[in-house]
Amino acid sequence: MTAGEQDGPPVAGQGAELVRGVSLWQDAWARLKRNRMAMIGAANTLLLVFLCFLGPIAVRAVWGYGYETQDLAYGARPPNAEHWFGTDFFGRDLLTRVLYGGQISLTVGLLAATVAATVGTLYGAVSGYLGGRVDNLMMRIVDVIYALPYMFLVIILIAIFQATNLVSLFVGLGMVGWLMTARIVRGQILSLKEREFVQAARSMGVSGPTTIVRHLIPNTLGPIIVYFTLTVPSMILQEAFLSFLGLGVQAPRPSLGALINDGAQHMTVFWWELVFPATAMAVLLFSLNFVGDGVRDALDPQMRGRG
Amino acid sequence: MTRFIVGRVLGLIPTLLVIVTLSFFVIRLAPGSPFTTERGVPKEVVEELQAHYGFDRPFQEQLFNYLANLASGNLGLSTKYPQRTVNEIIAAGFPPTLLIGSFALLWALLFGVSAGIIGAMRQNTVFDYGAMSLAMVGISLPTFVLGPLLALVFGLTLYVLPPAGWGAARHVVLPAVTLGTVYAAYVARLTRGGMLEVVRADFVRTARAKGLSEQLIIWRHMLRGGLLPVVTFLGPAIANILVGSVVVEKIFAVPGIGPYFVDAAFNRDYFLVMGIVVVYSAFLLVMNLIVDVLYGFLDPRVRYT
Amino acid sequence: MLLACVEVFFGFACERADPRFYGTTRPKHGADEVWYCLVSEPEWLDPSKASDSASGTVITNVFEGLLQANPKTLEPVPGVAHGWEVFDGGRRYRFHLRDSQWSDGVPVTAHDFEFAWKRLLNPKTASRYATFLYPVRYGEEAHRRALRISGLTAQVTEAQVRAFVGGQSDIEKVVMAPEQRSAFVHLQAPEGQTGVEHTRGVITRLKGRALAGRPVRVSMTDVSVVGVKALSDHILEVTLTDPLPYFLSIVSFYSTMPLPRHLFKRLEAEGIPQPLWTRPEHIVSNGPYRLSEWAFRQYIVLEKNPRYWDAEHVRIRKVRLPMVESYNTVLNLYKAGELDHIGEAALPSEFMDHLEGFQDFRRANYLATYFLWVNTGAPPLDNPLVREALSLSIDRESLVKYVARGGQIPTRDMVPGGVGGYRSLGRKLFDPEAARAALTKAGYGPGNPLPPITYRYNTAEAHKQIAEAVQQMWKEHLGIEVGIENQEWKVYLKQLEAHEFQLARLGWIGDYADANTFLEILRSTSGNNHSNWRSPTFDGMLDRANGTLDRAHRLELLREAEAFAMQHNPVIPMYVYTRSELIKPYLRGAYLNYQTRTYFKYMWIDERYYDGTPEPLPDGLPRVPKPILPGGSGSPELPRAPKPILPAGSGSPSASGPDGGATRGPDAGRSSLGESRP
Repeated sequence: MTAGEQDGPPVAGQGAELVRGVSLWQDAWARLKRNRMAMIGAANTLLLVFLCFLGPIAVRAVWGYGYETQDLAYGARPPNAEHWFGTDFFGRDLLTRVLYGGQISLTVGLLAATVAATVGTLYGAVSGYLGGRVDNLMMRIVDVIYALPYMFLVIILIAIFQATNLVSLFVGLGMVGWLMTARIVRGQILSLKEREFVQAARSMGVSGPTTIVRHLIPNTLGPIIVYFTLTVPSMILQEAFLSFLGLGVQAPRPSLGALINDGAQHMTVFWWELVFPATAMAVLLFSLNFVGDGVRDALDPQMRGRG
Repeated sequence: MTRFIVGRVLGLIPTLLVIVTLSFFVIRLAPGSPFTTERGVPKEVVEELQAHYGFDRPFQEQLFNYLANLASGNLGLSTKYPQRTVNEIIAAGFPPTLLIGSFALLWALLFGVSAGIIGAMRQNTVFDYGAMSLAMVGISLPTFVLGPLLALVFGLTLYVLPPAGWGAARHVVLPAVTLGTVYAAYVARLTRGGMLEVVRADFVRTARAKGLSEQLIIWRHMLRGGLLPVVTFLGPAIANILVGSVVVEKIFAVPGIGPYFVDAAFNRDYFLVMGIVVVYSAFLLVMNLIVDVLYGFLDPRVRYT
Repeated sequence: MLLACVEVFFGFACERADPRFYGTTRPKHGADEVWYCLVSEPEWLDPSKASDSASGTVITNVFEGLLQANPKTLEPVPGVAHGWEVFDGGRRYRFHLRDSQWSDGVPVTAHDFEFAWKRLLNPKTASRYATFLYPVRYGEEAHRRALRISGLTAQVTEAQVRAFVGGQSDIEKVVMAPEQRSAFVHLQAPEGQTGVEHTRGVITRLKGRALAGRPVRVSMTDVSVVGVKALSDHILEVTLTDPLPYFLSIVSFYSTMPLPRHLFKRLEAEGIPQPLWTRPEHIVSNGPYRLSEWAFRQYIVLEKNPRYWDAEHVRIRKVRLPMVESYNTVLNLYKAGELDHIGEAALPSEFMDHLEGFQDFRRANYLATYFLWVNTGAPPLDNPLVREALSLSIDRESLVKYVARGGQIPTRDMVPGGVGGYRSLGRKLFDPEAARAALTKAGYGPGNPLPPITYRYNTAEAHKQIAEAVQQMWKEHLGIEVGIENQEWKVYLKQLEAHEFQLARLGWIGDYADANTFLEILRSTSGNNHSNWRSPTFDGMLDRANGTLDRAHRLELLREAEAFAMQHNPVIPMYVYTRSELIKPYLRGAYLNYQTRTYFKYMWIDERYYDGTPEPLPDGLPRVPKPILPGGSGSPELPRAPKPILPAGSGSPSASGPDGGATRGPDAGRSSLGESRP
């Protein structure tokens, strides 16, 4: 993939929808509502968000312990009436940890995807709008970063910041995740900026930044949203991958990825430590992916089946 | 066409140069040095080591020397494996990684394309849902769960495949399947989508009208268009397979290049990090180039300028 | 079972495991082979340069020094030297070498040892273990390239030497060597200049000047002055600065093994770079095994060396050493019978309860202490009462029982009990009331909470678990909130050295079995002292102890020194490490000792296991050579066989950093795991 014309999703047919303006969104919403899997996924996601964010609070209020409360003498018990998911090696309640981990994973996924989408959109829009040499240079920079092993980038980022905290984590993930968005947006902008309404705005003396923010970006929102919804689950997986390497969220905070990694290490002795977090992760990713697919099909039928 | 390819290949050189300079700078930003160890080493020893690797010279001189060496194909010395050159280390690690990666890709394509075709041809049937759900499971299952699970089942319960190791054909199976499954899932989804797009295209209808058999239509006409998205996906996928091998190679003790992506940076093994970056980037750039060219063959709408 | 038996091309037999053991119990190889996990790629197979444990294991079996260690007790026993004599109250040793050969048939001589020892001390070699030979006379001067002033008369005093050099440079110390008509001066290089550059400058400036009215020669010290000399092909004489109770242990350590001078010469003549000498195609060695294959980061194969002097007693002909870093993978391979011995792999604490039940699980104490460095330089930890409170409120018994789980020994002392005959201080392990009282006395309490403290560890699961548990204990017993923070290994070490921390964990692995190896890191001049606690009193107590010839008295003095230091709590010890191993019941003669020193030459395969799983039999004592002295017992002072004083396996702090990786390297892995969970 290079900065050629074939980047990003094909844009043919976009014009017709633009003319319809608002109805594009209504249309998409109607399509999304008809998609049963997507609606189930959305409901499920909402339920999980609700559980993950309120569950740990409820547990603390009712039973008086949190995801980090240890009971060393009560370590590594299989599921029982008191601890539905069992306890981990330190006697911490696994259910609470899974819920809290889900909260962290969702946060990391959403924030990293937001960083990626924001940076990518602005970068791609500027590059596409300015065009010519600047565009060429900016896309060459994207190529360069794209060709670096991203693990290497993340490690160096973490080493330089001298800490593995949530912020450096999603900044690190976001910083390497914006490249695709930038390319997609640029491709869209390149074709949009030749359209009459952009030309009109320009001839009326509207400034560059205003044109980009007011006229160009809103018209590329479709692909951006689609890509965003697909990025969230992949960021969650990336975080899990970093956890495997010991670079993820740090103790005693769990993320689903970290929990699954712990579980996978010890699955021959404590099966429940793998089964519950892995199931939670699978359900979460399933739901998010179905929502993502649904949104894509609804907003941009052209992209059907990509990614 | 030839001009396009030659132009693109030449274009890779400045890109690579920028990548090298950038990473050479970035790795030095990280605190710590390759010679920091837990045991206090006498200052004299560290000075001797610095001089041996040329780290006592001014930064620009080091960069220049590195680039000069690089031009002649010399990637320098490793500090972690002091008896090996980076060339040797990479030459030893690349073949296993490539082998596992190729089989993973093969598995991804075989499984993914077939599942995708079935899904598309029998859209909205049990087969479709089954194949796609399976794909979704593949996408949602991290390799570090799948790997140990496969090792447990095939290596330690059934005793049919070795749980880890390297050296014989049977050692390739589990790592390749582990690594390839997630890509198989993506390929299945992409193939299905691509096939659905062309299934009602004019040329397919024409073919049907001519009375060609369904088999022939699928193989001759539909796959060519239907696989376009898969081809686009392959470029980044190959890159990710290389990086993704970190996990698989750890789990199955494969002596590949994967662990260096992480360890070399941790050990501040400067030249090894650089070597990995150079080789990886060059490989990735070439793969992307090949994908672009391949794209032209498959999609007549794309013209090279 | 049906599926399992589809052996078509997999070639694996259906195994029925005996439930008493972890995995298979039938050897997958012949009765003359061993498969031992090496964990990581050795850095160097060059005895002078190696410092990691994988290298140590290979070198220990491929080379042989003057002495070797008893595989069970690690007591020094004869190796290439069949006997030795001691003179001058322990300051001079004379080693008598037996007739033996290198693997290419060239005789091993005392000159090979002199060459090897001088190469170890040569700063150009950049050996990380060069300090091991600092006790040899002028070893430190040669290695640190001190300024040498020669041609002195006997009347010249140290003061005159200081005056002579003083105008040109700061002086660290002066060593007078009247018998060489020399003086050695350790210079202090100014910031921003390397030692060599500085010394060169000083030499140029001093050239031609007179000392006490006589011309002198000024030069950089080289290894020719070092107190090691081959008196003949069969006699090596070593002179020490001070009598050193553990010197023989050092001599059995791999850094002091001989080097094939003849090979170095040949390679030089052929234009092959010297560092390549350890490649399988070149290497020549004198130990029980020789290197036959070396597949980078995959495996090493050792083959029996038919020219080894004791070859008739070596039963294993082929040793396969796969390098596998992930402990889960190691366990899987062991279970499937692809490994006979998990070797240097560290087992995670989660598996301990499960594995302890199997008969092939074995455990031994390990010469290492897990502790926290306390940075005493800044409030609130500059207050000894606060340190005392933190130290006393860690429930070490629970920590070991529920977190570390490796049968580690809880301790609040720095030196493990029993090391080289040392009696531990036995300080009280846990006293939450006294801890609270100390904190109150320090002026902290509900009205005046303790300022924030951070406990730091290097990124590794095991250290994380300990940190989390200790954090919780402090909260419970002292009511204080301590933050925990992890750091990647290289960054971690850098900040330790720069004292940029408050509390930081470390494991210290003894280099030899003597209390000194644990105490000297608290010296005010030690580069390994990260506490900011510096006490000239303590330094003096150590010096006095080490200058004492009487063994029992010396230990008593060392003990007083430790008691003095520990009163100030510059460190908070937690436990003494253990080493947990899985060794197949058919592998016999695989002794565990308190370092990771493995000798394959004592191992053998119990062939009864090819036909079933009989009752395991215990290994007796290893058959080790006895010292034979020249001419009967012509030695003036026979060394009182030192009790186990051991040289080091892999001296150092352990981390499990990337260098060791959470699951690698001896130090690294070990600390992190088996022991990792304290």
